[in-house]
Amino acid sequence: MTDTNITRDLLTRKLDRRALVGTSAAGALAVAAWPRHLGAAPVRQEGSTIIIGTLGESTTQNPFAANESESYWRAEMIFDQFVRLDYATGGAAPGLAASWEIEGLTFTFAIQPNARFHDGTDVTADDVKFTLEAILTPETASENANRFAAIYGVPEFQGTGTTEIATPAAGTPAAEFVGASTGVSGIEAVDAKTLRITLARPDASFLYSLHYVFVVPRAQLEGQALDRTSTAPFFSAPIGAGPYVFESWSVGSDFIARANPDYWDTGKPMIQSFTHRAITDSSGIANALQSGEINGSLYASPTLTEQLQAAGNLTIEVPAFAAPNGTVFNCRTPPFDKVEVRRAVAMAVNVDAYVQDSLLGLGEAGLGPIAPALWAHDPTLTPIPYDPEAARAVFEANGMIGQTYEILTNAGNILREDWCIRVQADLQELGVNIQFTPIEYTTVVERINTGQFTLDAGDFAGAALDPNDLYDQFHSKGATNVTGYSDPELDALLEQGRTILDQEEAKPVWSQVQQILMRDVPMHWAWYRPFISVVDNRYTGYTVALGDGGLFRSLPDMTFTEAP
Amino acid sequence: MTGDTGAYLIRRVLLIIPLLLGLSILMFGMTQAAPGDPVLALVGPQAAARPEVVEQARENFGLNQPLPIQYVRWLGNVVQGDLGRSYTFNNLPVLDLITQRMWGTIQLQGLALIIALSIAIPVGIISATRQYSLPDHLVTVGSFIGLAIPNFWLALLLQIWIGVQLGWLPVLSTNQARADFPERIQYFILPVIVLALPSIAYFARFMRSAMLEVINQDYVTVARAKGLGPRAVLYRHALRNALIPMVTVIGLQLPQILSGAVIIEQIFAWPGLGLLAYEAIGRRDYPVILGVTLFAGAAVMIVSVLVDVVYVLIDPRVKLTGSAGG
Repeated sequence: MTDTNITRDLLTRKLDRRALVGTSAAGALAVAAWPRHLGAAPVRQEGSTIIIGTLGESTTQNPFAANESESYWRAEMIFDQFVRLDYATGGAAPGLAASWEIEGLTFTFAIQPNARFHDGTDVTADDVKFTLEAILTPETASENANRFAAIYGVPEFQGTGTTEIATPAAGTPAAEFVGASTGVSGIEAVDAKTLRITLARPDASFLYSLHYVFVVPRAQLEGQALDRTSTAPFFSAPIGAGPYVFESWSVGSDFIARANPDYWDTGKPMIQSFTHRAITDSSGIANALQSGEINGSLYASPTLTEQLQAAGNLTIEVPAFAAPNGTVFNCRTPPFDKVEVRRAVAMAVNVDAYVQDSLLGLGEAGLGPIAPALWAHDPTLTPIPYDPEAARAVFEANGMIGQTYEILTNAGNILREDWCIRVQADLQELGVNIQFTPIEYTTVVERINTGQFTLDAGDFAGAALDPNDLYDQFHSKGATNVTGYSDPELDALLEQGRTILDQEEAKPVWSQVQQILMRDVPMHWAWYRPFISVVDNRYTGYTVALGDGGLFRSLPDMTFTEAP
Repeated sequence: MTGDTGAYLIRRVLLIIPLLLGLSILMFGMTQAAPGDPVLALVGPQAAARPEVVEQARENFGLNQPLPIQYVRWLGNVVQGDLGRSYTFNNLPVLDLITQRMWGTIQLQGLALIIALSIAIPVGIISATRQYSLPDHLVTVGSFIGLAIPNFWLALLLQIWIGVQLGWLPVLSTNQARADFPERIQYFILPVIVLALPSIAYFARFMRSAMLEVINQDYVTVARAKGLGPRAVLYRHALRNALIPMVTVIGLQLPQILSGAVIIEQIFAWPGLGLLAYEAIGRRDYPVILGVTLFAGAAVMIVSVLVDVVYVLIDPRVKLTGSAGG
């Protein structure tokens, strides 16, 4: 039976049990033959497959152009990451980089010795250098280019100036630093499997940022355009070093990949193929999950979870929260330039009622810019209390009664629209009128970027996984400071925070950052959006992880067992 | 076909060119006039606040050029058969996307149309020939129900009932393109039922009234008076004439076959043209929006010319001599 036949049979639910028993028996034999001292034998499950359906579809197969969850997740499966994230600690974990040593500002990475691309060629330091430089090339227009700005020689490479060297105390590389002769001087391929990266200034996010590096083979892409409009044939049949090998993609419908038999993490992946299917109707997804036509899905709507739970054949997982949402204030426009007014708006809204009514208890009330599950969260923070009477007094004192203020959000995001309606209703109760404007996403972005807003229900502020996100958002010189908030004490702390590589050492700094932001309320971090994953009970071995791809990030570790 | 008719048809065909040009200018203007900047969505949330990345991306997509230049460039490529490349469908050529999706839509809608007609025509005839009988009343009530049921609701109901609870048929139709013949049928059943039901109701109502109009005509009475049997009167004289207005109605439905049924394709995850247009609009994928609109526009115009031709062929009384615009 071929893989495609099995996929089809699974779908039509005519699975030949004998075929499966046969392969499990073969698996059992393989285990028996495995030398005991090597521990448990890796067992590939012949013919096993999983179909994952999502509302969103990936918009590109070009890892340099990826900028939404579906594209990032697929890039992980096909290309692998140079460094991965350890979700337990929020720190870095080995990926294509097997290990690294840090000396001052110099990082020396050892690449997995047996990592090979799907065409059989070795993954070398040169490929990683090429990939990083491709991200940094301005013409690529990668959304991640700025993450690597601290690497020595980047301004010269981008033609924007000369590398500014940090103070010697911070561990500056020697003034005579030469580095690589071509490309970015701070990225050197020492030998085939050793890469050395030198930074010009300390950057606590650097290792974390390397999880955006999806290593591509230089030989295939040298000299080609790499931006989203690139017509390089590589991007219609990509070759990576990831756990899965690209097979086919009928855009807008099915993406199919099969297990990489030569994956560096020997024995993985267990599941022999996966299909990622775009289903643009959330009820269609729920029905297909129940009928077993798809085996898993991401970002299920809270309103459908009860139906899915009742189905009995599905496991529903809600990963720890990492995406704070709520009300963003434009701190430049009166009366929201006053801390007491911003705080009063937060006190006026019944967050718990929102969590119950709209998130159906699956989400959680927010507590600051860094979610409780993340390492940098300060556990001593206390939430802004729900106190409509105190809020009314502030609104009266500031002449806000009877006035109208606008709240924006991107139309179609039901949870955010619900939030706006909640804010509107609760403030109306106190005599303050709120005009709710749901508009198209890019118009929101334009207005937020140019400061043409009063209130916004978005995710433009708050750390997703890395606390250093807050630098760009709240430093007075931050590139994405949309609120216009500025505080010299906070600026100093944010500058300090991003130079401390050690988490324990950095915690007190982040703690102060959170205290200040909770005191001054440039944003009311009111609730965490639940990213609900659903998976068929027969699949196990996954990690319930935050971030793009949810639990299917751990697809290479997953196993399939036919129900007894 | 007379010379006049031939000249008329040539004029009609030639008129398609300026109409398509007008449509393309209108669509190009409308996509640009819509608020919001598509480049901000294309660069991703991390980069949207970074002008250097946004401007670079704008240049990569050629969106930094003045609008008239963008339009002329696009038109120049279209004339050469190149509809450009999509922004959000893995940079695929728009023409490839349309041809990939087109067959799925034509098969689904074509099947629904054939089934609808093969049920509606006999039902309409029975209903007309037995006016005010029980079957006629049943057809009338059934038609109203068929027209009144919202198709998305029926689609979800059938998914839950037949797909989930009974497990007889697949809920999603994505696999139809890869399935082989006998197995492939199962993916068509639910969407075809949902699409055909309102059409059956609509066509049956129309067939009934067309038939009623014809059987009350003098020539039918004459045929009866000549002593022809009821079957001969019905099929040789009445039905042929009653079918002529049906051609118009079917002609009006044909463009829909090409533009697709957005909601039904969405619910059953049927990768067709309707779904393509829907997704492209949501993602502000200008080249795809323009390509699909132009394609659908051309289809409507060609179909309306074909309907005229069919008219001439089936009804010798019809001569097309009016001015091309009229």
